[in-house]
Amino acid sequence: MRSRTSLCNRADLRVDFTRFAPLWALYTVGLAAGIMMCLPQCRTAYYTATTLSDLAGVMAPVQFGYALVIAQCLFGYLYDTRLCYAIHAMPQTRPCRFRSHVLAGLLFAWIPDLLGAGLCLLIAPEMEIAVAWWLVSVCGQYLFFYGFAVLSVLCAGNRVGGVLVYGIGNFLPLLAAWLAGAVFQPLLFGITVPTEPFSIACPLVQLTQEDYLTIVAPRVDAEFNRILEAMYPNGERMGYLALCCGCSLVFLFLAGRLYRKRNLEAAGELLAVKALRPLFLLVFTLASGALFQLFASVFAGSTAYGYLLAGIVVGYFVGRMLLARQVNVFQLRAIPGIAAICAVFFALLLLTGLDVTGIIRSIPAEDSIASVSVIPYARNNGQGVTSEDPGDIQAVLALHRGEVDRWKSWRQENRGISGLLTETYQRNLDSKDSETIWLTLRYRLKDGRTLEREYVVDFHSQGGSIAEEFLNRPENILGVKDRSELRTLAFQEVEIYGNWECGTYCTVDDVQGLLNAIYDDCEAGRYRLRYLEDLEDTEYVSHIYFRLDDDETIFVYVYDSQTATASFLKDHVRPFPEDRKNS
Amino acid sequence: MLDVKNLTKSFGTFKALDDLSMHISEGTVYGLVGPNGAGKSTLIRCLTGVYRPDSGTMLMEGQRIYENPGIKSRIGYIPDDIFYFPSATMEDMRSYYRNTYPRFDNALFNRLFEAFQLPRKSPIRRFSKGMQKQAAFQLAISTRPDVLILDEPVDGLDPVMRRQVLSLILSDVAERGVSVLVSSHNLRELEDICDHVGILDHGKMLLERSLADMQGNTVKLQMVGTVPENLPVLHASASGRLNTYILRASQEQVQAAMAGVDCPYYDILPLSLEEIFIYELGGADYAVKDILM
Repeated sequence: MRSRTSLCNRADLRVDFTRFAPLWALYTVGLAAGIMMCLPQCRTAYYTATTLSDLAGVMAPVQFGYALVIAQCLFGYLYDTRLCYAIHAMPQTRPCRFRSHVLAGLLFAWIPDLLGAGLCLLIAPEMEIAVAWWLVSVCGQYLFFYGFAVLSVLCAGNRVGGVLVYGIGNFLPLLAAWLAGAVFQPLLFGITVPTEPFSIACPLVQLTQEDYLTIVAPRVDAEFNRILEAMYPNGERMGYLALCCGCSLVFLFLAGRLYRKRNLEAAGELLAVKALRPLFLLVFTLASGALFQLFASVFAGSTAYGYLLAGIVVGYFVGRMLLARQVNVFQLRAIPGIAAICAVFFALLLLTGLDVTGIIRSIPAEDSIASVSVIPYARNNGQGVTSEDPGDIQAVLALHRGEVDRWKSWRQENRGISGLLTETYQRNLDSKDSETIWLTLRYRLKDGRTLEREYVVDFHSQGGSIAEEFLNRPENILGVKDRSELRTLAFQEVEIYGNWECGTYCTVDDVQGLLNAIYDDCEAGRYRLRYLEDLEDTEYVSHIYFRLDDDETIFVYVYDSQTATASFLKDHVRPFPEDRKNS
Repeated sequence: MLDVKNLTKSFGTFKALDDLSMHISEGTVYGLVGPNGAGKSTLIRCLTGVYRPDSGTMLMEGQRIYENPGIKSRIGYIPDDIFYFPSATMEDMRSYYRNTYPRFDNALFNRLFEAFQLPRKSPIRRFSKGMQKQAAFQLAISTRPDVLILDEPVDGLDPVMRRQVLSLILSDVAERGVSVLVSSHNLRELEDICDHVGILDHGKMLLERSLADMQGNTVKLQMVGTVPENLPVLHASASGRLNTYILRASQEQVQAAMAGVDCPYYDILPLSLEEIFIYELGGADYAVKDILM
């Protein structure tokens, strides 16, 4: 084919496929090997479907790395002045060349993926729907990662820059989550920085989930294999994937624009786009600070803010070295930059710790509250209680006020930076588990908003008494408000552990009788959380797992103070049937 | 054929080309000379469509060169520092060029194998520097360009191959009217093939003229005595009683001026291109300096 201003150039495609044949061949062989290791062992359609769904999740980190390697190979000539000049002297427009390499890069994964799908069908010919969705998933993942890789490579002027832009871009939400959790969270008494938004903003995390297919298999056969009844793509996961694919098209469009405008003399620089340099320096500096503190917490067991400061300073100068491509960056003119970053960042920390906005101290007005919920942190402490009762609302507000007052008085007693920075952590570290409980207070407001606070409540305090009353209710223990609702609970199994005459692993036949006994103890105020074992002279009797039909579990501790439950168990407990032990 | 007007190209704060203008006619061999860092390579990269100029125009037959595949397919370029795809052979490069340049002449490419005797199936990266240059020539000439741009074309070639390459270039000029732009520091060889010369310095075109004109308008006068005042002197030196003057004047003008001077001895000598280069740039504050070791 002669060169023309066309969609793409066959000569470039052919060169790309021949030059980088080892890469896509390795990917193809690896994919085939992975499929051959997993699929032939699946005994039934259920296991094939779950394996394909899992495989789609496993492919995400592989595609993440492969996409960067391919983008660096195909566009790497932009990093070498000799090759760059030689290629751009050829009679071809930049957009045509760009399209040729993008197409080649996509085919480097999509063709092997298609072959992989064909192999899956050879192994499991009846699973064409699952295989088709697997193919859509992995192709979509690669499209996203490749689009971002191409954009990263075109923002950069050398391979290190390409890797840094790609890595920082993909992991930035996680670094931000770490900064929020490790740096700002200790300053926010009662307020938990939500991590879910950061996780949602990180495609690498989301696309690595293994729930691409929703598989319905409630029954088992005679050999205890699950029977596949229905299978369909997980709407949430596929919707997220579609969004990522849309973003990738935007990335590729931007990359194409960058390529058209690119000054070829930028080859060898860390970043080819000058406007990105200050942003890179800022992000790299903060990321270094976050990583320093992360390593300090993992290896030294310390979250001291000194590590953050050290990381910021080191990151700033290393970033300048990377940008300038020289070691001599310790100049006076570098001081204002690092001083500004440190000043702004630590000012933010100070303002957060001083609660300038009043968010820590804010308590909603009683007449603005529709309902309150008291929820223990650990599932084995119950499922929580929700109430619209005005008395309960007042009690929760009193608990809330008590915790804020304790925070204020602690701050008064511990003035200075240490009081500002370590108050929450220090208080929690000093608390003994058996005398405290971690609670979430949730307000559903009349204007539709929801407000949450988390506190480690001391049982000796007035707030602790309020919390104890809520947590000992049947709603928290069994998840039902009224005794009549006990009949609506559907169980797969009831497992009773303890030192019984008939053994340590037991069950009962009369499940409703057991539930009624527990309900009696709660109503009579005899129910206690296990943490008070050290405070009152009670003896452990048993712990019970109620496994519900929807795979949820109700967990109950039994002490001799719970007379109705203890007595019922003594009369009705029997060994767990052998034939049901393995299911 | 090739028209450059008011071309400016900067890299950051450094101006590599400063309002440069030049013209290359059809069927001429244009020698581009200049000191190191004058902007020769930058100019060549602009002319081959690699760099986008900041301002000015570069036209070939009235059409812009940058991002114009139709025009760029008619330009053959051999850089000073040649780069091939790793592990590419001559056959691989032939295939690539054939699919990229519409006028690629396969028959000529095969004939040039006889001239250059290059291995067909060995990776080009294993060739010597001279062989790689020959390979670049073979590929560039086979594209049948209308303009051939050469940066240090004979550097690394043995004398026989140099002559062969230069002969190929000149025969292409004669047969097809190819325009050639040659950038080289080897002014002696350039003198043999160029008919136009442009001297570049600090991004500006200092002098652009036909070689005959240039040699005709600058002469060396050796005499006993003092040069007449009406003759413009580029450079003066003395060895005993013999004074040597480099004059920007024609031989006829010097003879006419010397006619009225009582001088026991004088001789008017032509200058080589190398001497013109040295003395012209000496006037532009780029002279040979005495360095004390």
